[in-house]
Amino acid sequence: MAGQTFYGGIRPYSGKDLSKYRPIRTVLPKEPLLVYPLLQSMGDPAVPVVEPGEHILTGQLIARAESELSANLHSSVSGTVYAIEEHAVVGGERQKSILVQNDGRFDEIQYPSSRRYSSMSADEIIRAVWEAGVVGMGGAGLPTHIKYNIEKRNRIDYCIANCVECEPYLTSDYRRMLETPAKLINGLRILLHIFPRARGIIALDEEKADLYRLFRKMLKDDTRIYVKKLQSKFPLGSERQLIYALTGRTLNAMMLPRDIGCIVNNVDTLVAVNQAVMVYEPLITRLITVTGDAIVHPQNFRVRIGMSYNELIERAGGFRQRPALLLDGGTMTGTKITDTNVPITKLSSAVVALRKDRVSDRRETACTRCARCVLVCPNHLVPVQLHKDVAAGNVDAFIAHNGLECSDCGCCSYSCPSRIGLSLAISDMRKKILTEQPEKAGDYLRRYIRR
Amino acid sequence: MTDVRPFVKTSASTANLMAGVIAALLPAFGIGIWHYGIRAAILVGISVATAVACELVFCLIAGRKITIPDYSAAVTGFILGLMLPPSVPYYFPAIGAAVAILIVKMPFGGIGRNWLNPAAAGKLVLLIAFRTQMDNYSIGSFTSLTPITLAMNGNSVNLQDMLTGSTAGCIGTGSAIAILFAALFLIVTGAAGIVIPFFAIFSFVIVIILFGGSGWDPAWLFVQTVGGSMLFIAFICAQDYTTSPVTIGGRILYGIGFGALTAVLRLTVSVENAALYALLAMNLTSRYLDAHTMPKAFGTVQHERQVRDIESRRRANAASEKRREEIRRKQEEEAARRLQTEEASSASEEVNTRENNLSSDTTVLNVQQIRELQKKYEESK
Repeated sequence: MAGQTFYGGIRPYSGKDLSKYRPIRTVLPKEPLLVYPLLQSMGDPAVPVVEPGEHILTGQLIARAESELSANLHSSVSGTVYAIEEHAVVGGERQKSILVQNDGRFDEIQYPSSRRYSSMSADEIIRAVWEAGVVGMGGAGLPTHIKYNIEKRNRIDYCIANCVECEPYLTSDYRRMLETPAKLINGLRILLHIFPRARGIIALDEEKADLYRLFRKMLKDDTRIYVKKLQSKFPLGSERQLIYALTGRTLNAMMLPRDIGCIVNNVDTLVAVNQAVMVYEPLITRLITVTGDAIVHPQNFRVRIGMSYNELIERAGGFRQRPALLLDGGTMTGTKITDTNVPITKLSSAVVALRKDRVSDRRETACTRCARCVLVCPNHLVPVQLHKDVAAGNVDAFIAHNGLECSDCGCCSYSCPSRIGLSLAISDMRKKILTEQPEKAGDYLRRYIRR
Repeated sequence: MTDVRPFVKTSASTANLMAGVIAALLPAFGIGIWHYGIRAAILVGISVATAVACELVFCLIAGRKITIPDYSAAVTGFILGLMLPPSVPYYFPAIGAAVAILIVKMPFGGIGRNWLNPAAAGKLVLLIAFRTQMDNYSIGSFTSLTPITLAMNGNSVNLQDMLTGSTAGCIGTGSAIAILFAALFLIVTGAAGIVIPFFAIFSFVIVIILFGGSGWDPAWLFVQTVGGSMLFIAFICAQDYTTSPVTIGGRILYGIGFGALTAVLRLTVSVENAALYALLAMNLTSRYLDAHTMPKAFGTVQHERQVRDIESRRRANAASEKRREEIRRKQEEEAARRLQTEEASSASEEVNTRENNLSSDTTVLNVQQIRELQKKYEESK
């Protein structure tokens, strides 16, 4: 049966077979220094609560969220705080970070014994999630407690577990669901406990037919959780497209999912919620896929946040040959890494090393108006027209042609036979308007400034 | 551009799309050579060579990047050649191709910028300048009357000949089979769509039925649709990327306009070249159609059904608060009971395991090693 889907979209080469069948391997940091950038989510950086020289334990709070849009930060090793200084992060910038010297013993703080969510109130659960520093790990990195902490919880109809993983090369979500499905289901049950009127949906795509059968079997008797199968297409994992494919409700860039009664959470986020609520565990480990044809042993790792990418690549056997393209994240929405001595953060999801840089080989040619970008745009925009507006610097025309509705998925750039960087031009212009001319952006800022 | 996402791109490029168009039209070309002799091949060859040479010269003189390798000039010359009668003198395709490239295409900015379809405009100039020679289709054993002219004069036409192209007519536009093959090839390879030709033929047939004078007669409709290069222009020329609209709504209107205008022109002005005039007229409207058929962005219009759905759920919630509360409590109790029973099973053990447990396959460093590494780090600083 063909699954439900949305308009537009593309089917890029997925490359998931490289690491799909490799079980998750836990690795511990061997290097002496771990780096924790203070900003590991959307919004404001956390404020350090430790001093250099102080002895800390695994799981101890080292930076506290002072403002609403910020997340707590915990140490993932035991040792002493070495310094609080600027350190390079992914993307080439330098950010203020806490450097911790690993003593190699991994002494843990005393966790209380595990608890039951059914006896907790919604506020207690949200508090637990806040304390654990859970952020949305699908890409945007919004602190998760903000998503839950809304006034009218009865108005939420659907809690959606986003298990689609439409990004090429990424397999960590797949492995996590295959190896520990109960954690995901329990995380979703916790969410349904917060939102009493909602029904839960586990959204899978057609490629994960084995997981579909597994979840159907596990949730045979559950009255509140439904398992759905959708067509494999990029960008199905995008919030707006996923909600539409599942419920038929549409959402524009001005609205938040909760306005139409939906809450969407990534697999990793739901598992982190489960860990935080059930066993008081803060978010200090992350599943990372190290893959690509330039890696000797592509596989999925469970790593401590704060380890460097260098060490991670080493653990995967290093490079087969010097990669032409080294990415943090998948090939559609990732960013290029130039310096590999950067720490893994809560938002890291994969390292992809490719032998051949297929994009920079090709030169840009003139637009032929072939309209392929129009046919693939999942948000029903006309990228070719927006590109013209950007070239002319016409902000009003850009807004009139709904340029601010762009969700930055990159489908237009992917499908352009003339290799024009459409999505780059559009998203640059969009960011410029949102930051420099907020009066023109209006409600579109709602996504960035909550409340 | 290299350090910007996405880092993967489609394998299609302008050059291989254009090469696809040429490949799709090869059977039509072959049928032209079969029926009209080697003369047809020479005419098309001159047309392609002139188009490419003119583009090269223009690029060199104007100091632009040379755009020969994207095959667009070759496609223009090829299509122009296929649209010429096989009996014209050899200098006709040269003039037509030179006009198409040097006047219609390049001065506007080259590929992607021209307002008129270059091949069609080239033929239009030839039609205006050399009316009688362009209307003379007689070559070899073929009479000078094309099937569409015969049909409009009330004579009967052999439909089988129209399928195979064994009639008087332009080099590449006579055979319905070859053109439908080209259309299918372009659709299957993704180089062109179906929207414009579908709506063009749809509206064309409707107008012909209403005002053509022969009503529903299928043979009559077939002759009208295939004859006079209508099928060729609808599937090949009207789908030219540059001169057709980019939005879906624009394409539908463009197709409807093209079909209806062709029918009207055929019944009033010109039997043989109605489709060509209609195409050039519609080319001029495509930018306008684009500007007025911008699609509404996803989610900016909240469908009434959706709003009703959300509202009704909320109302239902408020109305049967008590009953729902009861059901919910029951469900929760059941869930709790299930959870309790599950607690003994492995599933709930899994739920309660820590993720940051030390695993057995990793070695924990001793203090000595750590000191060494630390020293190394400080030295490197």
